[in-house]
Amino acid sequence: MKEDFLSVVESKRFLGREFLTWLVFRVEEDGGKMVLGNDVVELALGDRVVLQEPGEQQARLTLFDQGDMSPELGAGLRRGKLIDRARIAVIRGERRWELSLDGGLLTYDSLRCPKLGERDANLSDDPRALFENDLFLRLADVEEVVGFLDRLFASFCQLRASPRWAEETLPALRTWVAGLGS
Amino acid sequence: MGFLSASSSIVRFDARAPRTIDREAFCEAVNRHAFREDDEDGLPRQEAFGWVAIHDPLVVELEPSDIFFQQYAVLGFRYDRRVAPAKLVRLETRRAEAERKEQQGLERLGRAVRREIKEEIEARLLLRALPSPQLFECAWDLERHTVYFTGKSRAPREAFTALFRDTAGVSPLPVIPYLAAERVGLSEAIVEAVRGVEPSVLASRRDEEPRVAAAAAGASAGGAGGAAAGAVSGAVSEAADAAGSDLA
Repeated sequence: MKEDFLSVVESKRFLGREFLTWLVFRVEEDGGKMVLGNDVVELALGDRVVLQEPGEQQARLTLFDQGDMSPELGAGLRRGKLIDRARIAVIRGERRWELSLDGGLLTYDSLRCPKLGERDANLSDDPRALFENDLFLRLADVEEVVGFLDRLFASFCQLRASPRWAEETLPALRTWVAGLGS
Repeated sequence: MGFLSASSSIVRFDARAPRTIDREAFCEAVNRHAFREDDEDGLPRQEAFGWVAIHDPLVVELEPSDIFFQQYAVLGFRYDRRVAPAKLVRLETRRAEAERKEQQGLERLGRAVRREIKEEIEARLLLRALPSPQLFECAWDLERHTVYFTGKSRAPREAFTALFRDTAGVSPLPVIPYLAAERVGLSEAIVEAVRGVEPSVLASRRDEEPRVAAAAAGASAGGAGGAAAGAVSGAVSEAADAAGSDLA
């Protein structure tokens, strides 16, 4: 079972990397505004991107820059790599999360959540109650951002499983990759 | 590193909670697997891990009220590791080997004897080594069958999954993209279709040609000296990396 699972982890890593690459493509091409049902969420690319090549000896390319990473990103993607990890910001109204999304494994590294809201004044004498209050709010923050990313992943899966992927999205992605930094 | 830290790394697991959970029995199981620094003989372990209260890592006798709130079961996880300094092991091993040779009037020691001496030295030094503790947190959302764990390093994560399985009787599976597809509200047909797709090639054929030519010319596909990498001013590292190092 464990070996089966590990082989799935390895053989299907590309799925999450394609998701992350598609996400960055959408951010770069559409300005990052995503409509998820009744929600509007904005995504912004941060200052760190890791590209990785498939295969046993995976060559990795780490980029970080305050400015325009397009030339480096384009060079990596044109050489067959996919985005494995990217620092992104998720903004919903005045709330902002920052994280490094690991596409290959769908883990959330260096996650910074919005500041916790105002504390209930009635709890100020009870440190344990305060802790539980803060923890509950923080878990809600975590589930909120993970929920957004799940919904984006669901959109990607729907697209990836449909003929539109090969007919529309893939050609658009290739055009974007070919034009990055040129 | 916990949920309330300024920044934390979070790994998500799928863990099916029973429809009704016996809170007392779960708490007893947690206490059976609470953090203990020493083994049954009172000797320090090289690797020690177990549950602690999430609100205070020194609390290792937990009540259900320490664990359950709202739809969550929340626990702290302490992972200590003792390591004898490698240089000290080498020096002390050399000293012990020299003493053994002198005692037995030998010029050389066999490989098995040298290994035995080294293991003895390591065990002796380990008794004196201080543990390096790491604290993590986990929250099991019993309604969504999701466990959030605030650690990504391999050794503590593996220890955590084993401890969780032994405590809850459920094996937590990391929610990798392949598994996530069935958790995001998609139809079974779409899930199966996505799981069956092959990788897409994003580089156009025109872009592929120089890559193939470079490979044929002996250039490393990922090497910093490659033609494409030469244009990459922002690239800070490019390294061959074993794929299995993350979740293997």
